[in-house]
Amino acid sequence: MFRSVLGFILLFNILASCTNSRESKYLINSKEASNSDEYILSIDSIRIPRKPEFNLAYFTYSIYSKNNVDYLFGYNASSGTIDIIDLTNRVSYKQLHLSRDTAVFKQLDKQDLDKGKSITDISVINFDSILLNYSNRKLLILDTGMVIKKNIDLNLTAYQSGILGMPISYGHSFKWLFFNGELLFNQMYPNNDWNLKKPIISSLNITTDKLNPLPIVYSEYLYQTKGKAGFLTSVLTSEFQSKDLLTYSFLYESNIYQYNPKSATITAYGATTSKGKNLVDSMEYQGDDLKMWDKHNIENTQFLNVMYDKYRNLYYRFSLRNIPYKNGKYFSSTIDKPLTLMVFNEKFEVIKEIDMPPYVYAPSTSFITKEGLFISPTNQKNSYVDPNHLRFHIIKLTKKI
Amino acid sequence: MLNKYIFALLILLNVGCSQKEISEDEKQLNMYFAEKQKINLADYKNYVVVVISGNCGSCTEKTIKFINRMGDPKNEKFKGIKKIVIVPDNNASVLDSMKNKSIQFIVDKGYEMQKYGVNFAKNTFFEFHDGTLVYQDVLYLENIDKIAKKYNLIL
Repeated sequence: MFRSVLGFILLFNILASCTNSRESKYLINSKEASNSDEYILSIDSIRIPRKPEFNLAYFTYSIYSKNNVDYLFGYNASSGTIDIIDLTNRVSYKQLHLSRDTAVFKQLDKQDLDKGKSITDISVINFDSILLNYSNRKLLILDTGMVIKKNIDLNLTAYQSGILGMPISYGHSFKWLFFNGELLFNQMYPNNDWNLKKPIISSLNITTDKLNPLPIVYSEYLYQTKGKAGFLTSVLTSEFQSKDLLTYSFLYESNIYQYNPKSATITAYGATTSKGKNLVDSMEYQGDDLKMWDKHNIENTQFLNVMYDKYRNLYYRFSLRNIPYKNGKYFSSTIDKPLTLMVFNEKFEVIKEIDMPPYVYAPSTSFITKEGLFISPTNQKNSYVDPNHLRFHIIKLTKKI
Repeated sequence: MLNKYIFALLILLNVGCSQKEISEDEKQLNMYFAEKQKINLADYKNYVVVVISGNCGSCTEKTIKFINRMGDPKNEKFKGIKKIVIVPDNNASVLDSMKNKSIQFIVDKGYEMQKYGVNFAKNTFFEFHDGTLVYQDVLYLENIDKIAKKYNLIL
């Protein structure tokens, strides 16, 4: 009996130390900011009267500011429109119709189930230059009348730029963004050879249609594990960036990275959470049984986009903490994963780490305006849906006076 | 005396061995129907269940066509067979294209399919005869033709 217990303890220690050594090899530990006590976090709630033709939540969207007013441009698949919501004055501002007469738009899937017939990303230069990513095949630049001013074939552009791969973007993960005047894409390749470190971000000059790879690759851990991170093999960006620096991260680990094009350097910052896993387990299963992929997804933490708050010089990152897949005779789902918010200063020192209330939020709809960090309370399990209003909670960080 | 015990043991073993072994998918499906939908599948002798996957793009035009043909009252193969289709809430809008009186459509509200482990990677087709699972296959892309052929459905 004593031997069995001892054996179990030894085995547990070996497993625990293996995990720790793996994390210590690939991750940098986070550091608390010395003035973290000076910050107060509060959550406000707003509601915007909703016209019946507008959506209750937007999954593909972009934030644009003009004359001190913040607008949300959201894709509404059912009505085939780009809906503009004035966040500052709390009004459903305008609907721009993607004309079904246009060859490109007549194929759009109204139910938005077929991503081959969808708008996967939006970016706004101004009201007269709205960029749409049509199923990662075409980059369309439209004016306010939704007339296509420019149509760029993304695959052809990649080919003519000498890149054997596809530039892609999805608003909820690798979000389009303008960086140094060029539009950034996630660069994908037909065959992933994990022995080669290929650029994973490319930059498109929308005037010359030239696509250039940036010197950014996955973190070392993904190459060491031959990309076995299951659903979590993604590089993430956000449209909220500090000037001159590109902040990016990976769904599978807690580190945060910054690329400085002037000095051609990449700096890694530690951003470990205090609870849960900080580095994904290597997923040995390679078949197509969704449950195995779900299990891996649920039993590992997902680190979401890092967003820079230029009004407060802070960074925000949500993460979905790992939980056991089996829950008695039931199974856990992604919705059950606890949502954590981490707030960092400009040196990525931790100012706050809080667990958000469960089953309330949809972190894929979160963005920053001068008012604070907006997040949609439209979690799939949030039974209270107000059909007459578009609702947001605003997380506000203020310094004690 | 000993013979009596051996005989009893043999009976017990026989009963044990003849217990129907059911797959994990079937177990989860039964539990989902019983607990979540308050439907006891054992009440139906012969039935088919189609579980639509929650994955994007899972409900192709072909899938919709297959389900509509399955519910066609003229189709002899499915006559007198209970037909149930489960659709996850996020794909519920496809029901507009699948109006059929002879099929019971169930929308999985609150994403409970994952909780019960019936979140299959692809749409899945189950056929039960006398309460026993006799056929299970993936109802997706080219495979739909194979299943349609089996049931004489012209797509």
